[in-house]
Amino acid sequence: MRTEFVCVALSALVATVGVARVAPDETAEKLRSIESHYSKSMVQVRYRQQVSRSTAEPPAEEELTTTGVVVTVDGLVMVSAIIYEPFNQVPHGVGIRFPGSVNRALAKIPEAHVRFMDGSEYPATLLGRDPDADVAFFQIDEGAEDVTFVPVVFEAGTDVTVGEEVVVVSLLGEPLGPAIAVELSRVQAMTMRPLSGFMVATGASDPVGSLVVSREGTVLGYLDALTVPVPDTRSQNPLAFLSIMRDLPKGVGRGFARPARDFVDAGVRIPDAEPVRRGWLGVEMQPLSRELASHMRLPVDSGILLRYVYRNSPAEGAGLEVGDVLFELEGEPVDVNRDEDLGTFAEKLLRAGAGASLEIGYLRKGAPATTTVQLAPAPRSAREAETVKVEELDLTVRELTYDYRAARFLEPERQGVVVVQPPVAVSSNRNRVAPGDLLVRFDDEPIADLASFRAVLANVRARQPDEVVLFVERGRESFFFAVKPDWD
Amino acid sequence: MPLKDTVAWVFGFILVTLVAVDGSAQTLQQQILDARDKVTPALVNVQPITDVYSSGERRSSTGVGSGFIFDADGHVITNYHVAGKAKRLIITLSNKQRVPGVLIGEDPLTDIAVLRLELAEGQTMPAHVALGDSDELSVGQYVMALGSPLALQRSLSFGVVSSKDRYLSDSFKLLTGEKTGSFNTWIQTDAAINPGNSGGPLVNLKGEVVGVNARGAFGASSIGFAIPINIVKEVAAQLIETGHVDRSWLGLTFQPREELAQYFEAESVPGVVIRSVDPDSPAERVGIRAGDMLLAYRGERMSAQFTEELPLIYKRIADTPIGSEVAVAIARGGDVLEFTVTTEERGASRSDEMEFESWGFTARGITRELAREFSLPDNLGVMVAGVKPNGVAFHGQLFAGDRIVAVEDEPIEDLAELRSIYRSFDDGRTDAVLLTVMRRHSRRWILIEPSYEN
Repeated sequence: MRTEFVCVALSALVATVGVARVAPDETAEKLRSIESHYSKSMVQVRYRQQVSRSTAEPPAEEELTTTGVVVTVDGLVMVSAIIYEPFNQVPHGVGIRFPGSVNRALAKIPEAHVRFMDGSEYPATLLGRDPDADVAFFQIDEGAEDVTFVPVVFEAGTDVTVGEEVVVVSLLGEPLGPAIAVELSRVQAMTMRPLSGFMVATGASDPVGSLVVSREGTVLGYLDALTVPVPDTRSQNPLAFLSIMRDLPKGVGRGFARPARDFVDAGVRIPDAEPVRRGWLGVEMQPLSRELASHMRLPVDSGILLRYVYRNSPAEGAGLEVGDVLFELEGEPVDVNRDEDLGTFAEKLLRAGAGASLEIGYLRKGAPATTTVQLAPAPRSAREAETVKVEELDLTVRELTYDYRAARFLEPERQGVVVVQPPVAVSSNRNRVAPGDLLVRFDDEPIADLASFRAVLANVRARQPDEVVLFVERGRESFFFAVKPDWD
Repeated sequence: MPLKDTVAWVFGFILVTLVAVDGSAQTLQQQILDARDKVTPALVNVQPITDVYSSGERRSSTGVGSGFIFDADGHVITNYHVAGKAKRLIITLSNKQRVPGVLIGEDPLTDIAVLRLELAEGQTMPAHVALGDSDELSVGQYVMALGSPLALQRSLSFGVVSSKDRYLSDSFKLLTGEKTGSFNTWIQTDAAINPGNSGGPLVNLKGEVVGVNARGAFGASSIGFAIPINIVKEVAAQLIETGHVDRSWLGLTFQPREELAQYFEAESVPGVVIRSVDPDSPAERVGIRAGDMLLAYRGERMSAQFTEELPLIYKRIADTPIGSEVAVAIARGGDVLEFTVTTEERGASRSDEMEFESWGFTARGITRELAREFSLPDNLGVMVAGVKPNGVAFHGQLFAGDRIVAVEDEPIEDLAELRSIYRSFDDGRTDAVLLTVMRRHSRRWILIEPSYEN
């Protein structure tokens, strides 16, 4: 009796399974076909790059991965320009690109490999960045002479609407992948600022570089950014800063896609041989709230207050001063009231690129004026600064950068190198070198910059003295510090 | 020798020994009791009522500490960190009588405050203590600490001098942010010193006060520190006479030769290394530079091989009458240079704090010391010390550490200017007030909507 019951139950199960097989799910078919098609065009790019995990540690080379899409038959691979983003130059505002807690100290990528889903792998060379599409390209360069790759095609006229059903095609990374993951989703919102595009729901753990396609497989967009709930990466609000410094969840269930039309010509243009430095004005900004504008009795109700003008910056060159209110850029009003509005303005400058001349309308003590500013390439900030590590002294120093000068009230003519990792004290000496101290003399020689530090270091290494004295400055304080090098 | 005799002899020896030990212990015990009796009548418990500023608000707070009467006029010595800035003082004498006290003077740099008992008509002044000579102390010497640890009044603990020239870093700070201890080394003792002992006497077996107990060590036991009484005598005399201690300033900080001997070839040149010269200081104006070696000051040789020799050098400079022209001998690269420097007043390290109630924050003036600590380029403005959580300044995103440099475009140079502009706004019940602040190197414009709830 009992056996019979089990048998009946089993046959019912078999019948159910059988039914599912008999009437195939149309959506599943489509997703499967998308998965199979894009597994030939989506790749994992593995590359080595100098990154630093925290300001306390000097940058070190690490292997990183990102998602790429093949865009030509001869193996040109497009990746998000995220690989160039120094941490603190990420345009702020909603939809910032966010590489996690990694700071890319140098954009240089000495070595890269492109890996396909079928397991084949090819060495590749970084070609550079396409500044218009704001993507970067690798070229597969060896062992693929006979291979015809399947390129992804981006077309114009593929606009989406809110609510439309779409498929997110992403790459499942290690340790489960690499494999293609398809995910049914819908367009949640259209965005205007800082970039025009649209938002889709996605559960992909690392969506940057993923494709958004229609049910029929047509490319609709390119997932280029994550939303991160931080309005202003340069915000002085310590809480906001903290949330940046922590490991953020890589996805928050939502991805920002730029429309396919932005990439129609991508790969046709020859990318820059060297990555382009984005345009830099050299100011710190405060949004002009409506309340401030009205309280200050300004003739405008939006704009940007200049909180700081960096020395020797394009802004200083154009005569801009702290307290000026920027209200017009290239004849268009600067529509900024809140922190999150700054993104649009910042993005305009970044996209204009180094060398661009822009006309700026500003108010000084309420009176309007105009000036033309020629953007410069952004100088290296402390986070991107070049470093020198001295194993024998257990000391790492970095170049003196413009932002360090500003924060320490140093005149442009002041010289030295900045301590990243201080040498270990060998005695009870209370005058201990700390990260951030300015090293101005080394072995009794003045230190102007990294070059002179290297020169003195070479000298010291040749001599191998049993003691080296550093002279460092910390604000208005200074002191000497003797180190016993380990020459073995 | 018969066994019985041997036993008797051994026994007798033990007895004799016991008697001898007991005899000396008796003496020590008696000495402690005698010393106690000499000091106890002058021992007081100090309860100050102070304004404390925290989280952008002023509150009244009371604490507890110790102190002792040290002259026939009823002057009481205690720590600055006990009674400094007190609005009111309740002093409990050792006979448990409560007496009001007044603050005569205070000196954060040595952590000393002088109070005076306000006896009522007909009350008799208790006997005061005898002051010893802290230079005469030796390590291992018996001492005892009296006071009110954890408010347990008239407690006594006993120990030895563990060290007599302990140097507690020149960056040692009081809870109120003031630096202390640059001008003295400290007596270290294992006589128990706990919170509440502060300001109480450290006493030798003669019943003389040799130090003022000032601090313990967190996470340690049997390590307490007292300020040597010889320093206290000088400071107290000045406080009684003028209410404050005058000190000179040259703008120099020093480093001992200790680990730099080789670099400075200091075996041949004794002196003290000048590690920094303050911008716009008397020393900088005459051309003294960091890395110079100070050899002599006002004709007196200056030398510090070890850190504990630094306080004396700082003290020599501080003790110089303000505005004196002094001769300074410097070694620089094999040459000996002579400079004449005019000393300036050192000034307070911290200015008073003030509450700006309807604006939701507290602020303090920017002294030279504060500017130095925060590496500010100048002393202009007023520093926000605390912001009331959820208050109007908080909502305007003002932060502690911001430097207010203007109100409604009127430049603010110091606390007095901010106070007067605040009062005028407060009287006018202004809807909104625009503050211009410096946050580190960059400017911010902050709009505050004052709250006039109270």
